[in-house]
Amino acid sequence: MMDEGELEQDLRAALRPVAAPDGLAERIISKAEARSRRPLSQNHWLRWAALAATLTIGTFGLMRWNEKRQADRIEARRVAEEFTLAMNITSRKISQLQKTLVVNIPLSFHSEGQ
Amino acid sequence: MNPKHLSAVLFFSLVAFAEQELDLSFLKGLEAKASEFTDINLGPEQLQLMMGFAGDVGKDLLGLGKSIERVQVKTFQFDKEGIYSIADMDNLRARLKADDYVPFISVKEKKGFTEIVMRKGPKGMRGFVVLVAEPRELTIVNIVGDLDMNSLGKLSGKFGVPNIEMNQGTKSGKGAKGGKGENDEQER
Repeated sequence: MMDEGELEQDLRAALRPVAAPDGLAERIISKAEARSRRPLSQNHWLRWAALAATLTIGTFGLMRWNEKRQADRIEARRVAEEFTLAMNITSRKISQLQKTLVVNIPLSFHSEGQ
Repeated sequence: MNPKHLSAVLFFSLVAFAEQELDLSFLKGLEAKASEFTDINLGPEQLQLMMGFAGDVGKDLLGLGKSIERVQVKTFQFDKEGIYSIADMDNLRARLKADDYVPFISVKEKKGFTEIVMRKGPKGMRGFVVLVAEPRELTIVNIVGDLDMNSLGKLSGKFGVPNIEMNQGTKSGKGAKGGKGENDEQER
C-alpha cells in the first residue's frame, strides 16, 4: 500500500512543468494572425459590396418610383381635366333640355300655386 | 352551385356591371367629318388614379368622382346639316330600351331629339345616358355610377358647369327660374 508521501511525490513528478518546444508560441500567434486577418478583409469587402448594391438598388428604385409618381400625377391631372369637361358637357346638355322643357310648359303651370 | 363558382360568377358579374361601356363603334369615321369633336372615355382605373391625387384634383371633383365608375362622352359638331343621319342612332336607342334602362325624359324636335335614360342597378339607379341629336350636333353621354341628376345639380356654378335647378317636389314648378346666366335669358 502506498503512503501519502509517495503519492505526493508521484503527483509532483507527473505534474511537473515541462518547457514548450522552441518557437511554439510564435507559430501559434502567427497562425492565429494569418487566419483572422484573411476572413476579416473578405468580410469587409462583402459588406461594402452589399452596402453599395443596396444603395444602388435603393436609389434606382427611388428614381423609378419618383418617375412613376410624376407620370401618374400628370395622368391624374389629364383625367381630372377630361372629367371636368365631361361633367361640363353633361350638365350643359341637361340644362339646355331643362330650358326647352320650361319654355314648352304653359305659363299657367308655372304660376300654379303662387 | 359550388361556392367557388358562385363567387367567380358574382365577381365577373360585378366587373361587367362596373364596366357598362356603351359600344359607340357605329360612330367611327364621323369624327373626320366633324368640325369639332370631343371623345372622353374614363374607366374605373383612370378615375381611381384621379382620386389618388386628391391635392391636385380638388375636393368637389373628388367627391363627385367617388360615386362614378365610368364616364363616356362623345360630341360632334358639324358645319352643315345632313352629315349624319338620325337613323344612325336607332340602334343605340334600341339598346337603351333594354330591361336595364328606364326612359326618363324624351323630347322629339323637328330635326332631332333629346333623350335621358336612367340605368337600373340592384339598389336604385346606376347612372344615366344622355343622347342629344341635333342637325349640326350630336352628343352622347354615358355615366355609370351612383351619380343622379340631383348630384349633378350640386355641381352648378363649379368647373364651368351651368346652373341646373333640380327642384323635385316643389309645388311652384318654377323650373329653371332662379338660375343665373343662360336660364335668366330664357325667362325674360
